[in-house]
Amino acid sequence: MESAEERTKRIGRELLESGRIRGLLALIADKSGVRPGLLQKPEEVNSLVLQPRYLLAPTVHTLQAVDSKTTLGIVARGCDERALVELAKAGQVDLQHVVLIGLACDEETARQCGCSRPYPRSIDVGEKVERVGGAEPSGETMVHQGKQIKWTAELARCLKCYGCRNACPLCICPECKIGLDMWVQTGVVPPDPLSFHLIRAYHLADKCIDCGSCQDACPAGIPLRKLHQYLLKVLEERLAYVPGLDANQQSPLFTDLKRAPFCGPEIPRWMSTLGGNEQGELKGE
Amino acid sequence: MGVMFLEIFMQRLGKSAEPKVLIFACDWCPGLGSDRAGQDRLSLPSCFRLVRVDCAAQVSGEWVIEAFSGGIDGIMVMGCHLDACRHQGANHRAHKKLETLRWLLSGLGIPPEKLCLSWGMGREALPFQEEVQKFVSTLKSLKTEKKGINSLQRGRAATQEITPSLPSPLEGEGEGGGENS
Amino acid sequence: MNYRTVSTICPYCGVGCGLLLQVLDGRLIGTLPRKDHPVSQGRLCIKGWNAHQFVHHPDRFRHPLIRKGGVLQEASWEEALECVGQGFSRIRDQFGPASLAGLSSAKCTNEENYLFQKLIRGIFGTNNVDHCARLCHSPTVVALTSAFGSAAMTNSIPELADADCILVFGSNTTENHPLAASFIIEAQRRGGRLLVVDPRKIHLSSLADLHLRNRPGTDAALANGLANVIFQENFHNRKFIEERTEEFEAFREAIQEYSPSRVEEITGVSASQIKEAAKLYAQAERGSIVYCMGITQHAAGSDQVRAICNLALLCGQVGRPSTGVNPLRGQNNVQGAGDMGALPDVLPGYQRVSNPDVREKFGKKWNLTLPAEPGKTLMEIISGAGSDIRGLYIMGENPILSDPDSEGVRQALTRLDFLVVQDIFLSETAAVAHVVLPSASFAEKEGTFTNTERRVQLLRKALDPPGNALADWEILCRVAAALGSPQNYWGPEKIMDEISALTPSYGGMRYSRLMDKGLQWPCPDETHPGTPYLHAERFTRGRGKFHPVRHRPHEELPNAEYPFRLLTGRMFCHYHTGTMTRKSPTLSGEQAQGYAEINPEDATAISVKEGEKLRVTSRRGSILVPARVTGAVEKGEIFIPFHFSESAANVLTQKALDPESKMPELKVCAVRLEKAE
Repeated sequence: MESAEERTKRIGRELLESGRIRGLLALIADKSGVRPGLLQKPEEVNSLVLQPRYLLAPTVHTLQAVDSKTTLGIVARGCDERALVELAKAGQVDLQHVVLIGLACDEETARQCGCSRPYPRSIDVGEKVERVGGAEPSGETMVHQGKQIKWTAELARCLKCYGCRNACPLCICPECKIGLDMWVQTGVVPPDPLSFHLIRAYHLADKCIDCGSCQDACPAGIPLRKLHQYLLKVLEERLAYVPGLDANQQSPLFTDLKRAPFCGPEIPRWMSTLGGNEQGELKGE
Repeated sequence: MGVMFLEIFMQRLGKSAEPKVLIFACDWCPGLGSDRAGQDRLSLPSCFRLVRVDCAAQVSGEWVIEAFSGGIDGIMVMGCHLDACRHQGANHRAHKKLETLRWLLSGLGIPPEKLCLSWGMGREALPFQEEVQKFVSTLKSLKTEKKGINSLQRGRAATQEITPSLPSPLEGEGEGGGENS
Repeated sequence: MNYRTVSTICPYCGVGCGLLLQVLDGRLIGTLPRKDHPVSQGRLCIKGWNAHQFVHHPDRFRHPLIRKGGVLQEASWEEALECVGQGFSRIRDQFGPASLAGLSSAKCTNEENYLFQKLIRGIFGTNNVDHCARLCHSPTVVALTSAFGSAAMTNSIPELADADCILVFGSNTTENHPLAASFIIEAQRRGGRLLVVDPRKIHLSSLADLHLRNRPGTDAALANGLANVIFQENFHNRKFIEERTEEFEAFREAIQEYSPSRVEEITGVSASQIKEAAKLYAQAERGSIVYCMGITQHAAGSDQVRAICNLALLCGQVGRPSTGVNPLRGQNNVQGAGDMGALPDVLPGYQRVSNPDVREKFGKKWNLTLPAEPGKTLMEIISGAGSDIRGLYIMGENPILSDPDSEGVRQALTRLDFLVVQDIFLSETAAVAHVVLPSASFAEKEGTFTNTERRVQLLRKALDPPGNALADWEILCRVAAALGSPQNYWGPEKIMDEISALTPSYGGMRYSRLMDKGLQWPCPDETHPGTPYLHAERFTRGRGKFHPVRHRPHEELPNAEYPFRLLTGRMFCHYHTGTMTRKSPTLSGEQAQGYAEINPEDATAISVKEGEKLRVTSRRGSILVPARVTGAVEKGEIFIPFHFSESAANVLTQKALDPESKMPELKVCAVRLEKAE
């Protein structure tokens, strides 16, 4: 019986030998440890490994920025695929030139991660496991390691390493707002929690694909993922939108209320969050 | 918008303004309403400053976050009613984006009532006055219910202080307290 | 499209995080964290994430430079090496070997430090070799050696997460050793207590359970106060004291006068806080002390460190996991530089030069005669420049900006007959050299660094150095040849093999064993797995030794003419003299210019607002620096980070020395403030 790793290697070699891809993005293990790399010759595939979980999608973006016409392969977990879908929506990645070796996370990996879809749409390697572990962020309360999160205390630990932003596959703006003194005072640690973390979470509201790279990269152990998961849940409930699933589905934040309404009662003509909405047929588009 | 403008607004509001309110009103519906409220000399609370924008959709989330961080207590974004936006329904998108921001704030424990989104309600003098008064009294009632402004809002001056915003666990559990921004 | 990631070690601080350099078609395009590294575990700080940014800066040296007609001009390696060889030999022959000296680099690899001190000792013929540890943890070396017998961090960084009480003395950990702070924060999450001793309000003190805000330089008194309470309340570990220590009586007598009320007077910390902290630390199952420059950079530095060792011995908080006395070494390889003997009184492995057997062992291996007389320290070399010292070889150091009294250092260096500087950028020091030798950065060579927890880790070469620049070890071999003693090593691995044969604590270090996670010394032989924590069964010197320590106030106290106290230090997005970080766009974008933290009351008193320039003057010099108005400093104190050459804190600092370690009192001096016109 072929192991997941052997199967991945076989597919990888075939793709390289056939010339379908010029290089395969995967994890490599050798005496210096495990690291991501671009395998270009079939024999290099021998050093391919599947663990630990390491998001390779950002490197697709990096390499396509240099050369968008060369087809690359990638050993893609569910999170890699969702990241690529969102990057494609933003016009940052050309999915025509990416070949995915779809890797379904095993139960152990899925449990450690806790994301809602630990498998890509098309699975080439591994057995599909449904969501394992990971507490549901519910409404207003957010829980981490069994205790309610005190955001004041958590965000006060921020060391301003920018690791969350650097590791995020969707944080790709050449001029990132939270690095500008105009929005977040520079040269001070901890950074103002509202400006730094809220602006980031808000910007990613309809883009976050719940890969957890931000939290993994945080030296202060802040449960950043919970913040994003909360907003994703709200978006799913109120606007029926989940990022990363369909490259043709535009974010509702970019469309009008008729096309992507709030799930719920009729849309009034006049509306205020203070209440006193006046009903009436919403005319126009 | 940035810090510079925020400092100007804070100065113009003055230290005694309570609660400090920033209103973004588009030139059309709420613009008309606020003009007429002025012409009719309707009584309005003195603790707000109003910024005119071409379209409420110009108000981006960073402006709101920055304003809260800098010490503004409440923000109103006022635009036209939902089938009247002159910029191809940009107010729909503005509403969804800023509503997302309200949800995010509430997830962090900041009352979403502090950000008011008002579409078409301020198009005449009286509705404008009512809307603003309603908001100010909502803010005031917030202040007494939840003690002090949420300690997340520390702002630039407070960031420089780096004083503990949480009581030492040795003194007993509790959230909030500490620096008021 | 040639893309690969290269596993190597961060060139900035002593935590020694593993990182991956992203190389695309021969150029560095980014840095990624290493998920499988024992310390960094998939995380990095802002400096680590941008470790690649300075490497391709256009100001990198590409060719040797020789001063002709007063100006540094490009030259060939032949010319430069001939010049270097002749320059030093002439001085050696005319004035004797003791007129030469070398400053080694705490940023260069172990192999390079080893070669450097070999060159100075065996080829120059003098023990006048030192490096910048003199300015940071030299008191640690003196004090820990006298108390425990071994001068290094006793435990490991990840162990901090399991401590149930961490006492941090004078360390701005979240800014200067962020990935060490990571474990301290984790300890708090697990219910541990964090006690921070610091005159300033820093990020770490805002997270602490207790902030003991003491006056600068009163840490020995505070430690004595804690010891006093611990003893009075019977919190001390009798069994440990009896079985594992000596000289307790003298210590006990000395702390008697340091009652909580007396210590409150000296330090400004309330008696109740002192009692609380004492209880927490002493009663902790695993109590760990972490300390840094706040303790050491004083003329009483060695004593201050000894006072802390006393505390650990008193409570038996040594020799077990998650305990110990843990100095956070600054540079990426300052631990290694010391281990490799880039010090005036010891050879590699801290084996004394005054010991004839040691000299014979090394001399035989090197086929060189070695001088017996211990050499001058860094401060003595600089002050002797132009008189005792005529020729100086500086590798990867920037004394003009890192030493106290910048102007004095600059003048001293210009009095030298011959100054050779080996570096990657034109630092302030390189700018006054006679010959500049262009060297490779961390990304362009192989070798090892030793981090603060004694972990020897392997660097990997990601790309070639620019132009004609060479790895420092290659340059040293060529310089040695130019001086008549060619060195034949085919690579750094061969050098490490030689090091491990001569240095017992490195005995088991082989590149093949260091490949992915490194090894912590002592590692005496090839089968030894390395040592996470020290002094388990016995101290390196046998028993731990108590030392009675008395509070010694600073010499330069504020007076009428200079009424303010200047504190110097660092900040999170820059590193030391800024040679690398100020050439990194993200880091210099985060903080482009220097600043002085000033208390709001003081700022109002001289009508200075945020961002306006201050003139700060001391007996040594004067600088202009923008003001940062904050309550982080007390009234009467200001804080200036030393990274920025145009507002250089060290223009102001003074040279009072710790008599034992020759550490200058960099942390504190007296200044006056004015609003700049």
